[in-house]
Amino acid sequence: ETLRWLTQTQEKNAQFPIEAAAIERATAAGFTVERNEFQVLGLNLADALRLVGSGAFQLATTQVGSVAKDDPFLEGLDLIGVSTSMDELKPAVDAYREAFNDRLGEKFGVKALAIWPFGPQVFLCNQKLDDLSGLNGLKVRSFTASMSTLLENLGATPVTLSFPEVYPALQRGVASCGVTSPTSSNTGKWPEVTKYLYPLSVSGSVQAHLVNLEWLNALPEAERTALETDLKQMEDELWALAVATNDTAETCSTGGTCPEGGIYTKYDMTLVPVSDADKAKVASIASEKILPEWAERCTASYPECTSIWNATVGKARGLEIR
Amino acid sequence: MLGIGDIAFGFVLLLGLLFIGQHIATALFGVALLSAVWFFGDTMLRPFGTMMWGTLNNFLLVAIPLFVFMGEILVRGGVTERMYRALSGWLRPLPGGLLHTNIAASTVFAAISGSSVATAATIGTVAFPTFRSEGYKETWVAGTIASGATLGILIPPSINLIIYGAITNTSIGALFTAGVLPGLLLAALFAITIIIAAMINPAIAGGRQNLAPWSERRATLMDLLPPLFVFVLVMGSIYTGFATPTEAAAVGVVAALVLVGCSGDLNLPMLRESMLSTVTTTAMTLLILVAAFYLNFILGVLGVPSQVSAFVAELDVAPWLMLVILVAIYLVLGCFLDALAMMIATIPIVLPVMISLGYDSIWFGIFLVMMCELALVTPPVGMNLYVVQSVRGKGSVATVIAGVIPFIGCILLLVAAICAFPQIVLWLPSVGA
Amino acid sequence: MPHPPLALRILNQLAMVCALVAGAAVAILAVLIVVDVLGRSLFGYSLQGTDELGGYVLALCGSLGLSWALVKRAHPRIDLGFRFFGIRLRAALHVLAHASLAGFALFMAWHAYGELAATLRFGAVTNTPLQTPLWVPQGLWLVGLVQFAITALAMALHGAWLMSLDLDAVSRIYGPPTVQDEVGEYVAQEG
Ligand code: NA
Ligand code: NA
Repeated sequence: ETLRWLTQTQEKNAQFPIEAAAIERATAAGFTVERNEFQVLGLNLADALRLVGSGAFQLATTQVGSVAKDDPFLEGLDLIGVSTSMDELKPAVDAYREAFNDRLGEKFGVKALAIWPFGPQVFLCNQKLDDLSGLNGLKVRSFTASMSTLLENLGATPVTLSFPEVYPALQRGVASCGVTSPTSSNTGKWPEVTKYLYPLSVSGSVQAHLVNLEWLNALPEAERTALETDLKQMEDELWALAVATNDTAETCSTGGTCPEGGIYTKYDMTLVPVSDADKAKVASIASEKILPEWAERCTASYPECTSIWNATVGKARGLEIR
Repeated sequence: MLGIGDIAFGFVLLLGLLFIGQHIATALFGVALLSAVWFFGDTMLRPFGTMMWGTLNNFLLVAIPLFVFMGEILVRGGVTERMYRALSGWLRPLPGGLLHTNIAASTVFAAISGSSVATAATIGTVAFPTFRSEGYKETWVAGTIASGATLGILIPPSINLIIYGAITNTSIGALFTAGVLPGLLLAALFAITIIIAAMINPAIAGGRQNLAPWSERRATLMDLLPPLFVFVLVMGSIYTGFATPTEAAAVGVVAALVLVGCSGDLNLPMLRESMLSTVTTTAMTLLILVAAFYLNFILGVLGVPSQVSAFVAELDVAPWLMLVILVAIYLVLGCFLDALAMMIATIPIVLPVMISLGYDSIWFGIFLVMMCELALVTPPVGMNLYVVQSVRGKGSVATVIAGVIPFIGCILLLVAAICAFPQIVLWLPSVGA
Repeated sequence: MPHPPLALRILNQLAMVCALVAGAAVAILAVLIVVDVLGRSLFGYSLQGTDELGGYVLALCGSLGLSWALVKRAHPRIDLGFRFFGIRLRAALHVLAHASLAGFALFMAWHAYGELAATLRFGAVTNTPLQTPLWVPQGLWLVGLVQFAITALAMALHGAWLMSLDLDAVSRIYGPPTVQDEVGEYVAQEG
């Protein structure tokens, strides 16, 4: 059985060996895996649902936030400011998983066989920063609507930039700060152009491995189970990686002991300690601004949106949209 | 899966479609469509709509219409003619005389235009009349214009570098900055070639030069300011971090409008023609891009890039030998293919090989643009040759072809130089603001 | 030379109007971006989303602008082979080129329609600060592609019809411009 596997992971990424192992297991289970990268094929992550739903690819990875253009409900998995650590994110994702897959199945004909995070999305700035109030008046790179809402409420100016322009923008000062995970920023050489790392996480940048549902259901029982087990194992390993490797990357970026010969480079950024007041500030912006705004967008296309979210992620995180 | 025979067949089919006069976009699309249906039935036709929207809705490519518009406004505002006259007053005393003006004017025009063909047409139109009755050798007049114009895509802004950056996820700002030094070096190499040739054989530059009086020369110096101002504003915005390349292009458009407005050359018919011309160039480029991106997609799904990479890795040739082979391949391809189509069609196959050999993607972008420059002046398919020939309006295109030969040598020399000293390309982008 | 039929003249005019719309969009975009850049660096205020609007403007150029580029014979062809062909074959190849371009255009329009249909089915709204309902830009995109398909098809039919009347006219109207025409126009516009 041919399995065209469309991935965003490149060889330099920390996630690469884990995904490669999953592909090997799928091959051992009898699939003929043809691996392709989004970037090489000139495809956008944001189109993943359409690419898998049409059956052109049997499996694709994507960033959940970027496919939310086709359905805001999906973004409910990891809204900005709701889960600020991997420990908080895990139960939220598990609570939402069933509703998430139901929606994917009925609207797009796909199913997420693995849902996992890149890791905490933290602030990296080229200007001195003691706490979030330091963002006031700074230009910060934003890529989603709710990220912009957060930044505006913190007094920052959100600037939209494509990923390859972020490095030169930080270098030249078009932007003062960027938000991404410690791993991505370290492998993307951001510490060369930023000085301060503020490890307050605003989301986990959740990704999903989507498969075409019709294709999956047509598989022989044994193959389907093998694939599901395979991707479940990959998901667990990617969660573990998100915790472990981001700690390593953060230590490497901020002058701590860094393993030799790994994928991370040693830098000497200043690690700014996170204050409880800032955590509270993000939480209040989330519940007062971001959640209601999202609920409004989501309800427009899916009336049960709010009640489902309250019963799942909301319950797991102790939040409620009224 | 796919053998070398299939790839060769696809290439021959492409050449065949071009030979019978199909539009370049249709020919690229035809090969892609045939491969898609042959290998995948209708499965790989399904993502076409999604892909096409992704290509057309790419905000990195927005810099293309903006830079084209900027150049159109300046040309139609008469900026280039005045600039050419100013340069000719100053450069006549050099051995080779007015020939240097062609190179210098192309260099300055390249700094406000993203296209070599536009540079050739514009500079040619302004230049040829000034050479009447001056006794210059036609091969050298035509050769300097056709080759000088190739600087249009090396010196920023550059449509080719924008497209390269968008395809490969390389910073367009860094690519632009990287193109400055090689561009100036190439212009200098062109000038040195003229000087040497004129010293060996003064007849190529006619008789004694009549020099304009100092007062007149000083007066025309002001005419050089508008293009230089726009260039400094655009590249300065990018380099200092005031704006991204796309934003800098918009700044350039507004600056061009203000400049032309101040000189009293701004009017509605001129604005209308600039808009129509901008849309024409952009639409034509985008149609080729849509077809080429789809062809790349099909090649990618068929695994051609990784197979070629693996094949090259197995050959285990030294990186320098690989470069020599690559230059030779591009020289041949460039004879028969449109420069832009050649660039887009080869990036996905060649870039992974180069990265695995340890080359930088910014460096390779500049290398590739230099290959495009060669393609523009090598017969039988070389846009610059024909544009210059038609502006000349007499004799044969063979004169132009003969004229560019020494300058092809210059481009090859610079290619060798950036291979031996990659810092020529990489130094400027690495220096922080 | 036979007078072009009314339908073609109307299509040509329409192509120009659409190209002007796209061109005006480019000019407006430039001004918006400059306002955004100045606002951001001087007043710490950003319009947000000019990059997204830019993407739509580009899509307009690449759809509404296609027909005008065709009318101006700007879609490049390589006329390398023509010197070896006789006048009848040459004329037939010009018609063929326009017919296959029309086919390509139809294919694009059909798939653009599929994309727009999915957008409508999903109710897609960009997850960006602008929150654009995607059907608006994609609808305009489809309009441009349909127009392009019609224009190319009309030209192919006209060319085929002309073949029985005046082979020279086919080459003159539907052949690649001799670069002479192109530059001549450039000079004329400039002067
Ligand atoms: Na240029
Ligand atoms: Na050539």
